[in-house]
Amino acid sequence: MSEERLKILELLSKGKISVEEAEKLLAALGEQAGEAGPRPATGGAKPRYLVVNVYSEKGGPDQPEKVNVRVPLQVIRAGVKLASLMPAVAKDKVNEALSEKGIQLDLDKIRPEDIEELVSALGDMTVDINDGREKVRVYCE
Amino acid sequence: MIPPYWLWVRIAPAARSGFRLWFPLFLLWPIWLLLGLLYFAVLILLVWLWPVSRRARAWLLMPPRAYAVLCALRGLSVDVSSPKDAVRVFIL
Repeated sequence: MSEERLKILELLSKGKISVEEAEKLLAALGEQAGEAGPRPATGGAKPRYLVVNVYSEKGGPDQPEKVNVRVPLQVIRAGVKLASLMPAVAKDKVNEALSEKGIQLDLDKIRPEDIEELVSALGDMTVDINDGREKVRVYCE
Repeated sequence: MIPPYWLWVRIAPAARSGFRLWFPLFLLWPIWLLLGLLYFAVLILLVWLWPVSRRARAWLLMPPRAYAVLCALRGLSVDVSSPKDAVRVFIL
């Protein structure tokens, strides 16, 4: 671990900076390290996180419920590679379960080689649902 | 690939400040390193002694790929709040 990272973690553990500030600083450090190395051929900024925001007023406008989930896209890449090792029997069962829910997806067809294309396509995706009392927003950042 | 070093959890019931927990995951790094070395020793031995079938290959590849998923979890943030409770989990 670099000295800068250690310093940021130290400040965080002492409560001098918040988790969000620490995250931003660590991300900036990561970007600096990335700038020093070779850049990807695509040139554009790649999305790093899949964000899901849910805001609900089902219990009334004075009792809102909020859910914010931010998942690193790297988890999808690593997850697909791990899923490729799944035994054929288990894959069939997953495919069947998905089919019962109306999702026609064959896990055999999702290959780790194709995942970069999928992740870059996710960057352009935004789902925005608003029915007045509930709002759902899914996007990449 | 760097594994996560902190797990931060905050649980706050309504109208209370709640509590925060810091789990220093980097303290587990030496154990993971030891397990990794053990895994590679076993892997080399197995590959040397027996021809690796397709099924065995999948089992042998599973620990490093599971480790990759663990490393990828850095930056995961879950924030759930309602008028009664608020829970936040953050992996750094």
